Amino acid sequence: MLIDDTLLITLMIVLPFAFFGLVPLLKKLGDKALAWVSVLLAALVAVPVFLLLPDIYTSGAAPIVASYDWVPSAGLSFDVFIDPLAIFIAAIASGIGLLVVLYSTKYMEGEKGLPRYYALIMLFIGAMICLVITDNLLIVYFFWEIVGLCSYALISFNVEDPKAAKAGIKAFVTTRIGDIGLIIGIFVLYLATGTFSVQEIIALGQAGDINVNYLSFAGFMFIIGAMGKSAQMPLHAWLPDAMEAPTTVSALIHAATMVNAGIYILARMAPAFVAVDGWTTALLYLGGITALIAAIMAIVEPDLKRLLAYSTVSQLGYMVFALGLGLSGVFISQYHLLNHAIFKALLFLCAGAIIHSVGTRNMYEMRGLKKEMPKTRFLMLFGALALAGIPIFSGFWSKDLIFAGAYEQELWIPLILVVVTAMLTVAYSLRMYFLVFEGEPKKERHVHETPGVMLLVLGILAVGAIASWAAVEMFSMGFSDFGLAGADFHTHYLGEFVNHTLTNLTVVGITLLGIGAGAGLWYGRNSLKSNKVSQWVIKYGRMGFGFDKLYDDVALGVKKLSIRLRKLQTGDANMNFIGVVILMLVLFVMLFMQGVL
Amino acid sequence: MALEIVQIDIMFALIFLALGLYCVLSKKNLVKMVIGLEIMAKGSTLAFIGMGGAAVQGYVIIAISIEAIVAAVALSIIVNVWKQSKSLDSSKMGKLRG
Repeated sequence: MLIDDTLLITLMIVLPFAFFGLVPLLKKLGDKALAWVSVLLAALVAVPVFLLLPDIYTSGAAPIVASYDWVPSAGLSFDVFIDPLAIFIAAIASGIGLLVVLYSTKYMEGEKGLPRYYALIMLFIGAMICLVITDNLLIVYFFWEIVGLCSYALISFNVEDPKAAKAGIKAFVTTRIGDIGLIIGIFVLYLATGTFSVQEIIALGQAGDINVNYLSFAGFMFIIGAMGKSAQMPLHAWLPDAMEAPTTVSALIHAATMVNAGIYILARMAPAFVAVDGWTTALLYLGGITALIAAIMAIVEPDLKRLLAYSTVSQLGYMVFALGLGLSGVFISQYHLLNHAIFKALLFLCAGAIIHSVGTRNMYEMRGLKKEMPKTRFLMLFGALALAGIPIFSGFWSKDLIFAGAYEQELWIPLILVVVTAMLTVAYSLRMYFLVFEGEPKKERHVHETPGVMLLVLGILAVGAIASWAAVEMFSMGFSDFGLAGADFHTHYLGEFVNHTLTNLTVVGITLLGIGAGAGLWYGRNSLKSNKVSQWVIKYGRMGFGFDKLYDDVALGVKKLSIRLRKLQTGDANMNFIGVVILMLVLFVMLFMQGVL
Repeated sequence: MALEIVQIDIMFALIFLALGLYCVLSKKNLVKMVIGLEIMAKGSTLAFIGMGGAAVQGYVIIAISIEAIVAAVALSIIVNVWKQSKSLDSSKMGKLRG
């Protein structure tokens, strides 16, 4: 503890927002200086977060609690509650944020509107940090909306492109449906407990002091909230469209951080909800089915970035699935979140470098990049192997924990769902890698290797994709110290963890079976492609299995209803006034009935 | 039984309110509707004076000046409506209906 914790917390809350205001003022410096100043500022934001990490993750540490007045007259205070779960997501947001800003210095060079870009990234990092460290559900919701706003604004960053503008609006509206679920859940919890404090609600919930009906209703509303933000079926279709954003934004917001907000809120509230009938089962099936369908769509997708987006949906499905394993699943899902954030950021940034260089997102037009971009190929291979869950790479260890959890609890159908998904994951990872780097290019082109700064970032992330799983010891100790891992959970010492994972032969067998089947699926692709079922899957998979049509139909229904309701609006001033008078009478009667008057 | 001054105030306030409401709800002419609104506002001001005694003077003066501003804005809108449509009949003003 070098520096006082309170100071660090204040810095980590205040700095990003101060920089959000500062960055646009630096426009005069010119684009290049602005980019490098932003790197410096992002580093300044990351420092206090990483300084707090060791304070939380030492054995037997206490949560850091603080409180700042926000709106004292309304009794709203910014309560800070930092435990391993909170600080770890804050660390991902600021750490990957720093890397992405560094990468942007080169990647975003020459784009219009750079001050806006860097300012929004600062705002996003700050909002994400505040979202996870606060203890007050109202403030969680406040920042939940701010990250949604940043996502919208950054998807539509290229304001002159109508496709980008539409994708931004789609993302905003779709996640808003989830947000309504979340706010209803929050108010129902407030109704039942009279408090917005997460810790108080969890304490009451565990003591059984919350009315079961309220608690289960709120639990399912929180799932709807997570469905929107974390892109679970059927609210997932915004994420592939969000790929109109600059690739850096996709890496930071739509792979590593914001889409994890839903997972975070479920993990945060899991101790309260886990006893609700059917809550964990709902998560198991929601996650499992999402993972499976998204993997199928990834396998037929021709667009590199959209493939990665579907793969993100699929991996988020794994995390939701892991939460469905009960309290011990909280650790597993967050462990997968950590690994996924790193290797998916790597994959996205590699994809960005490739798209930057080739100028197309269609994988069939890339082909044969291994000669022209050997270093990028090497780094992207690490990401693909981690995604596929090949042993030693990070994805293997957390997926193995998920399989082991489902296996130990004898959840056979969900287990089959995730194992089939793992198989498809291997197949689409191979497909992505071979389509991009192997084969022969169709036409002459001038492709350059990824420039130095970008390679540096990719290299750091590639090391993470191999090594991030080794943080398991510190990570699991922190989680079990804070009661976030369930009573049956045993702390993983690194050596023991490796030993335990590799000697659990059934689960390793399942994993290897999945990998083998996936590889088989890839090598047998040509003979499998021709039959009718595959043709159907390819045709409808590329159309997103009709989820967009579903959205359109709902929107059309609302529109028709509105046209009918419009007849109520006569435009006559007297009629309108009668409405006002009736409303006042109703309010009067209501107040009278409640004995206020 | 003699009425107290407060009761008389409130009674007149209610009468003003009812008259103003009737005017706003039934008249089609925009100027008449604004007059109705003003009568209602005067009713509420009167009730305020009756209940609050001498202490509310300052508030009442502010309220009256705000009413005057509201009336001025409403009348200026009406003047523009007149310039556009040469009519003050509110029921004929359905052009901007959503």
